Amino acid sequence: MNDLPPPNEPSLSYRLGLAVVRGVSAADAPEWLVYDPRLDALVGPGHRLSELRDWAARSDVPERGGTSDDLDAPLLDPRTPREYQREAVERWQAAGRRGTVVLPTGAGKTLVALLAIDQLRTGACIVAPTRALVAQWFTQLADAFGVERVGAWYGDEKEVRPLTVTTYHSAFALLERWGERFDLLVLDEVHHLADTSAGEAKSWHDALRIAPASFRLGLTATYADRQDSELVRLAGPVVYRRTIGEMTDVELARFALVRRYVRLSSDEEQRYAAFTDTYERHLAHAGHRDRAATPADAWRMFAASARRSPSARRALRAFHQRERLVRLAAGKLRETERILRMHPAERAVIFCGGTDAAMAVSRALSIPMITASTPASERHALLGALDRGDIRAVASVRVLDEGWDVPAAKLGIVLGDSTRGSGRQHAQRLGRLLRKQGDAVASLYELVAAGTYEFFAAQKRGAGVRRVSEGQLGFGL
Amino acid sequence: MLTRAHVAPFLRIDRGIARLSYLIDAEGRVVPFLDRMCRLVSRLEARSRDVVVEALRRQERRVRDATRLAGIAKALLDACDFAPPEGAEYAPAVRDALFRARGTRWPPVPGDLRIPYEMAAAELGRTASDIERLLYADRPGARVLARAPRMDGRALLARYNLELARAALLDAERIVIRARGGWRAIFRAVKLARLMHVVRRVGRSYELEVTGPAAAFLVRSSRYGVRFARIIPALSSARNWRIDAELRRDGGLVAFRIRGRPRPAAGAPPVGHVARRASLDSAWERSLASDFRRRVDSNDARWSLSRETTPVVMGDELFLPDFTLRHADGREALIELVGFWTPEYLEAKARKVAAANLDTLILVVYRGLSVGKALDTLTAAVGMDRVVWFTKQPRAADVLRVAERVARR
Repeated sequence: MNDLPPPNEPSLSYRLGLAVVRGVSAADAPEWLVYDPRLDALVGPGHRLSELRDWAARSDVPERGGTSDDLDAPLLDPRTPREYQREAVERWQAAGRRGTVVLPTGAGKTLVALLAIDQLRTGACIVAPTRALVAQWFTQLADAFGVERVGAWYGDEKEVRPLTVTTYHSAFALLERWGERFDLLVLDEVHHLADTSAGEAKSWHDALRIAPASFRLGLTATYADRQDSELVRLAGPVVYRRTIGEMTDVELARFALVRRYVRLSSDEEQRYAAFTDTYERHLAHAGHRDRAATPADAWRMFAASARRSPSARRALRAFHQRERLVRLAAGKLRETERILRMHPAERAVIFCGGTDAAMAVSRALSIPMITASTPASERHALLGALDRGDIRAVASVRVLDEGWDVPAAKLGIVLGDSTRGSGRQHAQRLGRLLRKQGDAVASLYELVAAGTYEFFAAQKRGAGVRRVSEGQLGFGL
Repeated sequence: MLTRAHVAPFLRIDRGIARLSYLIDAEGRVVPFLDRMCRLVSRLEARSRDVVVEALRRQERRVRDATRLAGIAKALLDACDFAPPEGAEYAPAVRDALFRARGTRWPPVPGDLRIPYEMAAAELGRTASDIERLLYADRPGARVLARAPRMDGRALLARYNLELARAALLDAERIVIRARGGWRAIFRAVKLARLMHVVRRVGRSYELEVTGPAAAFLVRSSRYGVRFARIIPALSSARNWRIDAELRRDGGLVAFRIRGRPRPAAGAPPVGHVARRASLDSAWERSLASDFRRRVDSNDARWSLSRETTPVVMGDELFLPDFTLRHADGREALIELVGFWTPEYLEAKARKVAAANLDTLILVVYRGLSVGKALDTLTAAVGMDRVVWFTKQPRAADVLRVAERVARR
C-alpha cells in the first residue's frame, strides 16, 4: 500500500470554473478561499487562479493540471500598425496586460488585439457578442496566424485551437472546460459587459469570473464610464482612449441611399387584403387597441390571447402570412435583378427579411446565402470567394448586420426587414458597405412593397439612418 | 427538450412552492387525441421534418391551449428519428458548382436563370432538377423522418409531463435525487453534465445532492439549470425516483418536486417512462449473471445477485461495484469484475478500492491479465483471499465460496 500516493497532498488546480487548493489547511491558505465539501478542498472563483499561483509559489504548493497553449506562429498581417495602435498595445502592456482600449468604429481595434496576441504568443480566447462577429474574428485570425491555429466554439461548431473565438453566450461552457488553455481573453465590444442601470453585474460576467486567464484585453468604441465597477475588477480599467475627433486617418466611404417602390401582383394584392381583413377584424372584435395604453401593449395582449383563443391564433397566423407575402413578393426579385444589372461590376450583399426569403433569392439568382446557422469556416470561405470575385453577390439574413466587414461589397439591396423598421439595423447595414476602399461610392437600395405596411416601416428606418449617421458616424445624408 | 416558454403558463408559485399543472386525462379525451397525434406522425415516415412540424402545428384547430399543443408536439418530435435525405452529402458540392457557374455569368439577365443550374448539372454529371433538389438538402428542416416513435397516447402523455417537469428545472440552482436503482446511469449523467455532487445516506437508501461547480461565485446561479435537465433521461433506468429542486423565480428561491411515476397513481398525473431493465455492460457480466440464475434455479436459492448496487463514497469520487450479492439472512457482499484493461486503469482501480476500505468487496479478475506490478497492487489493496480468478468465464460457484466468508450484515 505504500506505493499509493497520499490522498491529500498539497496542490493547486483548476476544475470546472474553480481554483482548487487541496491538502492545505484553511489557516495556511488565503482567507478568501472557502471550503467545498463536494471536493473536500478549498476553492475560489477561477479568475483568481493567477493570484493563487503567486501564493502557491511562495508556499511550495505545486500546480497540477493543464497549461496554456503555445502559439507557434508569428503575426502575418500586411497592414502596418498605425501609431495609435502601437501606443494602445504598449499602454495595455504597461498596465499589466489587463484593461480596455477604446477606439472609434473603423479605427482598427482588431489589429490592436492581433498585436497583443502576437506579443504573448500563448493560447487566447476571443469573445464577441454575435455569431457574425465570431465569424469575422475567425477570418481575421486565420489570415493573420494561419487557419490551422484558429477554432470557433458556439452552436454546433465546437473546435478548440490555440486561438479560439466564441460568443459571450457560449464563453462560459468553453472556459469552464478548456479555460486553462488560454492565458489571454480578448473581449470584443466589451461595453456589453457594463453594469445594468441598477448597478448590477450582468450574467455575461460569469464567463470572466470562472476563466483562469491572467491577461485580459477589452475592446470597444463606446465605454460606459460610470457602469464599469465589475468590469474593472474582472478585466482591468480603460488603458487607452481616442475619440473620433482625434482620428484624422479614419475615413468612411460616401454612399447613396435609393428607395424603390415595387407593386404587388394582383394575386398578391388579393391575398394581402384577405390576410389584413382576418387580422384587423379579430383585433377590432377583441378590442385590444381600445384597452391598451400603447401599440406595443396592444400587441402583447393580442399575442398572449393567441394561446387560448382559436380566433386570435387565426389572426396571428394571417399576420405572419402577410409578412411572408411581402418578404417574398415577386416584384422584389425582379427589381433586384434589374439593380444587379445596373451595377454589373459591384459585389453585392442582399439583405433579406427572413431565412425563407434568403433561400428564395439564393435559388432564383444562384447565389449563396448566409444565415445564423452557416458555420464560421463556411462564411469565411464564402466571403473569400466574394472578395476574389468567384461569386458576385450573397443573400443574408441579419447575419451581416452587426460588425461584419465586407470591404469589397459596395452595393447593398434591402429586400426586407426582420426588425419592423429598426433604424439601428438599417444603419448597421450601411456601415457594412462603408469601409473606405479607394474612392468607391457605396449604394444602398431599399425595396419597399407599395401600399403595404412596409411603407411605414421604411419611413421609420429612414429617420433612424439620419439620426445615426449624423451622430455616431459623423456625417449626414 | 422543451423550453421555458413551453412550461411558463403551467407553473404556479404558491407560498414558496412551485406547482406544475400536468396534463391529466380527466374526461378521457386527452389520450385518444394523443393517440391520434402518434398515428399522424407514423403516417409521415419518409417525409421531411418541415412537413412533420407543420402537420403537428395544424392540430391547433382541435385544441384550446396552443402552448400545451406546442409542448406535446415538441416532445413527440424529440422522440422521432430524423435522417438526412438521400444525396444530402452532395449538397455542398452542388452549391459550390452552382454559385461558381453564376459567378462566371454575371449579372443575371432575363431568361438565363436556369443556365447556371444546367452548367452545374453538366459539371457534376447530374440533371438540373437534381441540382435543384440537392441544393439545400443538408439543412435541418430537410431531414426525413426515418422512424416515428413507437408510442401510444398513454406513453406520450407520461413523456410530455416528464418533459414539462424537466423544462421547469431550467431555472434550478440545486437538485436532490432519490432513486431506487439506476444509480450507475445517474452518476454517469451527473459526471457527463459536468456537475458536482454530495452523497448522503438516508436510512437504508441514499440521496444525491447535485450542484453547479462554480454556482456560488456566479451572477446567474441558475446557469446550470439546463444541465440538471439533462440528467433526467438517466432516471429512466430507476424503478422509482424523486427530485427535490430549488428554482430561482423572480429573484427568490422556490421548492419544486418531481416524482417519476409513469403509470398514473390514483388522481396523480403520469410522469416519466417505464423503467428500462438495467443492461449489463460486458459479456463477462452477462455470463456471471446467467451462471448465477442457473444455480439459483437449481439449488442454492439463499443467495441473490442484483445489479442494483450501493454507491460507495470516496472523497469526491464515487465507486459503484458491478453487483450486490445478498443472502436471505441479510448479509451482503459487493462484486467488482476486472476484465481486460490497461495497467494505468488497474492502478487507478486499485487506488480506489484501497481508499474505499471495503472488507465486503470481492474482486473477480481475468487471469489472462499480465499487468505485473499493477496486479500486485490490486491484490494488495483487497487481500489475496478476496480475489477470485477466472480464465474463460467467471463462475458463480467460486464467487459464492468467497462470499460465504466475507459477506456482512
